[in-house]
Amino acid sequence: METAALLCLLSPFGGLLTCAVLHILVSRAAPGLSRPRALAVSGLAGLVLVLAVTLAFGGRSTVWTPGPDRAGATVGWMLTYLCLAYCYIFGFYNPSESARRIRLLVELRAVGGRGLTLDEILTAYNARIIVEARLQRLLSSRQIVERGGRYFAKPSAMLFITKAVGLLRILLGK
Amino acid sequence: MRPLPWALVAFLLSVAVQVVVWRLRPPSTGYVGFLGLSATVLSLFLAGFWSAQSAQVGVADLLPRGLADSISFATVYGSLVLAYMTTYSAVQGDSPTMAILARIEKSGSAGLTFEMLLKELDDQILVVARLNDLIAGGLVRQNGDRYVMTPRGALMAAVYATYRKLLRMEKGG
Repeated sequence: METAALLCLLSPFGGLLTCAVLHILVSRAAPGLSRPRALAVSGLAGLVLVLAVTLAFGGRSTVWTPGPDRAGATVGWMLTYLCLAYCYIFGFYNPSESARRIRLLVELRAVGGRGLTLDEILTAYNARIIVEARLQRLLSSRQIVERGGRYFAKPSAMLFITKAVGLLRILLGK
Repeated sequence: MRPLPWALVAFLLSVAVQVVVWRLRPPSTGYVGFLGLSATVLSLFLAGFWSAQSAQVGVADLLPRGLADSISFATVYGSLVLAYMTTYSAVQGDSPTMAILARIEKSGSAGLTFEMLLKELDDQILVVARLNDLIAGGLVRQNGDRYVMTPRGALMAAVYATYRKLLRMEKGG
């Protein structure tokens, strides 16, 4: 296979690598930057890389003819990158930030081989901590509001995803 | 242009088959089942493309052709499957954020207090259920009344701990 075509095919993976590395660098260099912004900057940089590689090398390849063929291939690489970035954010970054299983493993790792009893685990990590942290995140991202000690939902992307997942559950008979 | 629409068709077909099969006979391992189904659909499509090209049937011009097109098809399809599986994890496990949001939304104009939420989402649901998942997944084992990490759990914890250290994150969760 010609080098130009190979570079185009690999560009989504290069974009993902750029996104992940830049995410770490930005998070370390600018700790004041909010986490969603650091992710957005890194994700955009990865997308720019994919676009730059495909624009620079797509035309040199003879595999895809100019016009709809090459445009379709470029859209395909960008879609591939966006899916991979989605997996990085929601499959790797998000669990490290908020997954309970990871937090429980981190608590167990801290004590080494002796492990923890359920009471010790619940002292360090419990429902109150979990609900409090999530309410704070939902409040700071303005997906809910608090009035007089009560929480109310607002139309938001997260609410839409919650409903979509609920629908998927019904479809899959869960 | 050829690989993109075919990858979308293959992906939608995989999801449609999953919906039908899962409703008729829910599998015990959702991820493995869907991964197997996706690999089967991918193989069938690739075999179909190659057969159509070899036989030079009328629609061959509309299909991905050659190695580069086949790789393009497989990567677009594969990435869509991975993204779907990432979303599917929210269907399998109960996300507390989604559970909280759904409950608050359901309460309408009355709203919910923190204590009302805690009554429904207690330690048993939010922590103990996850500990049991870790045991079922072979990441943690019970030693008397103590929970201890297995080597696999230690490896996973080390990966995430290193990643969080790189990002300078707090404990999380």
